[in-house]
Amino acid sequence: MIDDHPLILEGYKTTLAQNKLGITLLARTITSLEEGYNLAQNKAELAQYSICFIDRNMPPFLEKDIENGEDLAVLLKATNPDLKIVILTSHDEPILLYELKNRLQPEGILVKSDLDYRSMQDAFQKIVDGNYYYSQVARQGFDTIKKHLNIFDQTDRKIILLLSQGLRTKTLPESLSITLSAINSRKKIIKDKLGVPHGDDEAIVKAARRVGLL
Amino acid sequence: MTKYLAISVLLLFLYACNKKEHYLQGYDKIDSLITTVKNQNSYSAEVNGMLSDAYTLLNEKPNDSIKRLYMLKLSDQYYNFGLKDDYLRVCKLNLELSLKAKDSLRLGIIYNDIADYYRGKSFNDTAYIFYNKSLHFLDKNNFEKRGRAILNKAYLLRFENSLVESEIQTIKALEAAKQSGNKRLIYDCLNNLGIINNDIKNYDLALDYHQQALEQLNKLKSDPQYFILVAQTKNNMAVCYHRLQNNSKAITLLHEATSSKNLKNESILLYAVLIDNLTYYRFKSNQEVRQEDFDLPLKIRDSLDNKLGVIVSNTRKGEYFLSQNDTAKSVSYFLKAKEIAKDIKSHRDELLLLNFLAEAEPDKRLFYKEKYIQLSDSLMESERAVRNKFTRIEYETDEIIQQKEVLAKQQQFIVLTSISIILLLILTYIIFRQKAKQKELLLIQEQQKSNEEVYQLMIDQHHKVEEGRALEKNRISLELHDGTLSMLAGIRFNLYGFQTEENAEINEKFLNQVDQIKTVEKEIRNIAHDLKNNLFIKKESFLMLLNDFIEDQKIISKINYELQIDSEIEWESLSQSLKINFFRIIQEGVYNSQKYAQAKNISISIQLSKKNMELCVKDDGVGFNSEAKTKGIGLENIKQRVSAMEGFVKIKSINQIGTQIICKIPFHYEYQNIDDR
Repeated sequence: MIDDHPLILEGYKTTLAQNKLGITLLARTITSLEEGYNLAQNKAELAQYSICFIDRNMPPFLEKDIENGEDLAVLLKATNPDLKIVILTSHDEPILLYELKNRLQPEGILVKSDLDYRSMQDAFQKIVDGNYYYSQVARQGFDTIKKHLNIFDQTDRKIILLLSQGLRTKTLPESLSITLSAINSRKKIIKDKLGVPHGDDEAIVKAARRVGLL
Repeated sequence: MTKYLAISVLLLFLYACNKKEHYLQGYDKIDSLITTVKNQNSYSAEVNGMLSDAYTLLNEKPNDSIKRLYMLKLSDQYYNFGLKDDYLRVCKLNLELSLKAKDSLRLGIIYNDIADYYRGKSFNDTAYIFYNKSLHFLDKNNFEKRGRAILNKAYLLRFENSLVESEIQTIKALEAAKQSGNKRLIYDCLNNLGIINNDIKNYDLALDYHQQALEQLNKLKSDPQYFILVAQTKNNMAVCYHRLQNNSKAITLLHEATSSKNLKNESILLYAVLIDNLTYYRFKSNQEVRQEDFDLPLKIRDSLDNKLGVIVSNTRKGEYFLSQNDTAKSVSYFLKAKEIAKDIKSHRDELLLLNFLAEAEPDKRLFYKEKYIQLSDSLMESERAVRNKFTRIEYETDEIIQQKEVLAKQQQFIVLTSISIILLLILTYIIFRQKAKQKELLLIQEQQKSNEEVYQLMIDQHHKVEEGRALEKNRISLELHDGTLSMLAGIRFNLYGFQTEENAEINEKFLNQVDQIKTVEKEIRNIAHDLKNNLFIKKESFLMLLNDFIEDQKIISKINYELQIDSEIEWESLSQSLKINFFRIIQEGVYNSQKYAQAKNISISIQLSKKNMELCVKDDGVGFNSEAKTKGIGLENIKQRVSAMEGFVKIKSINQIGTQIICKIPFHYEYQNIDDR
């Protein structure tokens, strides 16, 4: 279990300890990405674990270019392919969740806003049984994205997501590896599709939120 | 239609005719007088009366070209009737008139006429001067008149024994004559050339010219003087042959010449010459001649007062008596001839006679020889003097023309120089102005640049403040989201651990409370989101700037502010300098209202019309005298700014009611690269 808040880790532990499958938990708690990175390097230890709960939002470990839990999850999965990954996140933006799912194909996605004791239990049971578990908010988000799948491609979605995080158009090429002019023309198309042809970035974000993309 | 047109044209024509007739009315009488005189065959008191009548009438007319034309006609009549002095008087008057009127074409003709007069009077040098003047004024294309004038000059030169010069002038005259096509003139030239060449002992050439003249005469059969001319030319040829010692040929020619019937009537003088020459040549070729044969021509010549002819006749008679060994008679004739020759200054004849005298009186031979040498010396000198004189006249005339040319050139030079100086001055002025303008332009550019820089600085300042705010918001948002929210979630989870199976009621309440925490979490998440959404910096810095300014003013003064800005205005596409100018104008207006007007309300509006942007700052203060000459530097600044934007400003102030500053600026959206964020 990886989270930067020990208190939350305690909560997870408590909850999962009361599982109805009668499984005894052998859990290690990690509170930083650096520690997580070290674990990913330790194949022998990692092989002991079958499920990994990772909080997406953690202070980055820039030394190894690990910005969040997602990046760490990739490393862990690489070291131990059998490891089941469950991502916990306080973000509920459908685009973000969808990209997350696409990237990691995790066994579980739990959004903190609708996470409670019962859903945690459910998730644990399903994943132990070899199923996938996506929380209700995540599922709804995926549905919305699927509706817009033909309208906005991955790059479009990333642009919208980054804009919503307050990034400036100028800085987008760094994170997307396409040119500024390409971004500008894409933005224009996005504006048209969202029905705000003369709007600014704020208008894009607002419109995207309205249709449920964010 | 055409009919009317024809009639009107006819009327116009008649009118024109009438007018002309009216104008010419005064000349009717003069015209008729001159015509009548023209038809008179001989001179009489009547003719004289008519001519002087015409002269008096003509004198009363104003100086115009018609008057001068009739003057010429009148002078022609005087000439025809041999009234030489009257002729000269009219010519000189006409000359005066023409000089006044600068009638250069007529001047040429009048000068020619006057020259003719002096030539008739044997004032050779004066005549020569006038011919030169005439040639100066005569039309370059009037070959006939020019040719005649040049030939007249040549005659004068020949009379003065300047044979070579005369030949040159005659050849010039011949060229002109050929161009004019006047056959008589061509003949006269050829004849003169023949005579000159005879005189300079170039007999073959002389004969050739006379032959040409004779051929030319074939084309002149209609000329009234045809027979005279033929006889004259044949005589001239006979003289040549005589000089070539071919007396038989000369005699044959003279016989031909004298065979003309009317010769005696038409030109008695020529007839005398022919008879005299014929007799003399026969005498020279040792044929039988009588003393009386010489007497007839002498008589004729004497009666005509032809002095040259009389000399020749007397000389030949002397020769005749010399051959008869009658020395006394011979000497008397020679002396008589010599006397006349001396009289008319015919030095050549005098020389010839001195020779004869020396031959006739061998004992006085030395005396005559001495005289001969003396005379020949003085003759040479006088010839040289004459040549010099004519050369000088020619030269002086040339010099006058040259001086005129020089003067004209000088004038041209002065005009050109002054024009170029003026041009230079104008050019310098233009360059100077251009430079001044350029400087002004540069200054304006610099001012604008600094204006924009100031604005940019203000905007940047604002952005920094905004960015700081945004960063802080972002930090709080993140803190709430990642920190507080996660903690709450953790606590909530931990609380789940405390649920109890035993007391279902309490458990229910407990779970309810835990769910409440979930609601709090949602609330905090929303707050975090909202904070993030506000991250976008308000885009239009100008409005922000303006709002800030007004907000600041609200704090420091108790005045109510109202700000109305047309939402249609796309501030981003307007130039920075326009915005800074607007801002400064508003600032200035507001400060003025605060400081001096004691206003309670200030309203600022920026509105868009079709072509203009209208900025209005209005207060309800005490106002000021808007007519006052000296205006504050504030208002002056406003005016400068507005004029820099090519707009106009109106400042209205009414005492105790308020002041209004209205600026109208023609707007052209200037495209700018907008920082799109």
